[in-house]
Amino acid sequence: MPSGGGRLALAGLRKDYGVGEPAVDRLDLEIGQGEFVALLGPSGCGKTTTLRMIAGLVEPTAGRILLDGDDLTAKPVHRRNIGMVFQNYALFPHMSVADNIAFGLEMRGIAGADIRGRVAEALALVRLSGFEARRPKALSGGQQQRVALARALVIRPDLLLLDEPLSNLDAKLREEMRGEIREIQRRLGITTVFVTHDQTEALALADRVAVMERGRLAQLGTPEDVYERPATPFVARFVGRINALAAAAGGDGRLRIAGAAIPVADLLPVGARATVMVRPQHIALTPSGGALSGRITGLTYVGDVVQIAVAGDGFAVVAERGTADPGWRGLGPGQDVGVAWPATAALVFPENANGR
Amino acid sequence: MAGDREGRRGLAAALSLPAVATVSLGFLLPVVWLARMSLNPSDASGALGEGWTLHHYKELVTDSFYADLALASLKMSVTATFFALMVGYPIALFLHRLESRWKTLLVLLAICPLLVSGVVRAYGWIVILGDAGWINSMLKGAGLIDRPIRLVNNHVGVAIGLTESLLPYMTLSLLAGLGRLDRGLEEAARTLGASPLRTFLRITLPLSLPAVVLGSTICFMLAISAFVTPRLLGGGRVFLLATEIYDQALLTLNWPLAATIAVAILVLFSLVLVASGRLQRRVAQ
Ligand SMILES: Nc1ncnc2c1ncn2[C@@H]1O[C@H](COP(=O)(O)OP(=O)(O)OP(=O)(O)O)[C@@H](O)[C@H]1O
Ligand SMILES: [Mg+2]
Repeated sequence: MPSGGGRLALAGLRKDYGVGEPAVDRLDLEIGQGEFVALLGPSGCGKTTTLRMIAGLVEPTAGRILLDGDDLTAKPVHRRNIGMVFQNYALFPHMSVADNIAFGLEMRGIAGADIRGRVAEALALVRLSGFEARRPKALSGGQQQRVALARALVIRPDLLLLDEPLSNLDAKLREEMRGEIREIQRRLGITTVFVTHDQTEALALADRVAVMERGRLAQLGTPEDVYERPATPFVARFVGRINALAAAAGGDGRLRIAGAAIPVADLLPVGARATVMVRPQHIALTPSGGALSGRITGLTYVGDVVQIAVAGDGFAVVAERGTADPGWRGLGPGQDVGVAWPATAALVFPENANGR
Repeated sequence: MAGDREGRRGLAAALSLPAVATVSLGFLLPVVWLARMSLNPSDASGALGEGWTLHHYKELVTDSFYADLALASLKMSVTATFFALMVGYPIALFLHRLESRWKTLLVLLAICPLLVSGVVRAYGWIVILGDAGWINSMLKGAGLIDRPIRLVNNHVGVAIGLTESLLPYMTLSLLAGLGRLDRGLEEAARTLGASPLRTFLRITLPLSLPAVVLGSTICFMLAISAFVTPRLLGGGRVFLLATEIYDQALLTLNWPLAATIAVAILVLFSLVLVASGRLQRRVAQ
């Protein structure tokens, strides 16, 4: 089931529902042929609105949507040839699985014999052969998900849109489906936009991640980019767990945090305020010494890692240790520890540039 | 455990007693009484006699007047139900899809004709449809007609009035039945390449069929038993089962015959209900 993957470009896309701030604003995004891009952001940041504008279900207030150079903006939904998987799957309850999948082919006037062949092929792709005659409500959530995917793929769309397709599944199934979606997407080479508010999902699936904040694109980059080199404190906080510390520049290549002087890689003018962010796994705890000293306030064991909360005079951080490493077992609340991190692991965000 | 459950069942029975009593006294008893009366003989003047007879049922079956009456009633009810459906369906669909805070108000607006008595509404229609009514005055004023078109005191008037009186019931029952229709399904169909018309035919319409069956059943029953509208807008020239019951009971004073016709309508009701239930299950599956 090969499909001609399309190049998608959003130019200055904006949607104003007429209440409050625009839901999507000044969104520029270019997605290459066969690329898998995740739209990631907190609830209400405009992910669904963006996806629905691409599909044609919501009319943009301004901006353009281009697919392989063609302007889609004025094209009605049913002429766009875009496959979409809805969050609640939106399977037609009055049709069998086979009829659901055949629907898009029928609408394209494809002959009955070809339809049967392609439906069988699509069902095999999502490993649901033999379920043709079932009604959607006689399927499990995961199976419904697969039917929705097959229905969107069978029309050989130029573009595949997925709106939080995994959010209704339990954790185990979600991971399984995640792998399956990625596998199928690679095999078909279909350009895909995947909406999620789950950062793990976005990092695991996407070639590139587009992080959205209040209708704007906060950062576009590879999973490594957005995790290791977040462009703003918002991205740093949203993608993965992170510690934030208020700091002031000393002008000597050091930052003052809670009275201590910490060397950093970035150079800042004297007195400039900044936020220093460090991932929990980069925080080293030493029996004594270290740049900052504090006291353990609590341990949270979550299976693969243990989170160690440390508070000192004017700061609080959380460190993380893999539970495979037995070093943490000697630690307990009330112990005095030193806190340090490698200078390269610290992300410094000067206050004026990104005020929040 | 078992005793507890039994106790609860006893309580449920006790609690449903008032309802059971009300239904038996207020509904079942009169029906039984009606059925009994339909079996009473009546003398030449129509007065109620003692004893048992099947005479009126024989009359009902053999006299073609009643067959014509039943046919006319059926035609009128189907017509009014059909037009109420045609007008009510778009309204219900619109209200169902509305996501505005005005929705409640608009739903109220759609059913507010129910607040006005049927008699008043019928006279309202006479004002509009009569020989010197608005429509005829307008058409005459525009020079389109010389003589008024007859819009009341005939079947047309009754059909118009009945349709209007059914409309709130139709809209309400459609609205109640449209629950399964999710906007997301129509959107999914559109992304799969269905034009708005095909989306309606393949998704919206099939999914709204249970609502259509429900609304049509209710309206058909209301139409076939309607009396005020046919009486007032028919001007004594439109003969239906319901008007005949009235005539027999209050003008001819032949109560047994009136009761017989009423029982016949009841039987018709049951048949329609059974058929509608079957259909409902077929379309809902
Ligand atoms: N039909 C609408 N009318 C008015 N405002 C809307 C409408 N749809 C969405 N919004 C608003 O637009 C903003 C973006 O909504 P959107 O559904 O795109 O968010 P989202 O990122 O998909 O969130 P979630 O993760 O919760 O699904 C929100 O503030 C929302 O309240
Ligand atoms: Mg959403």
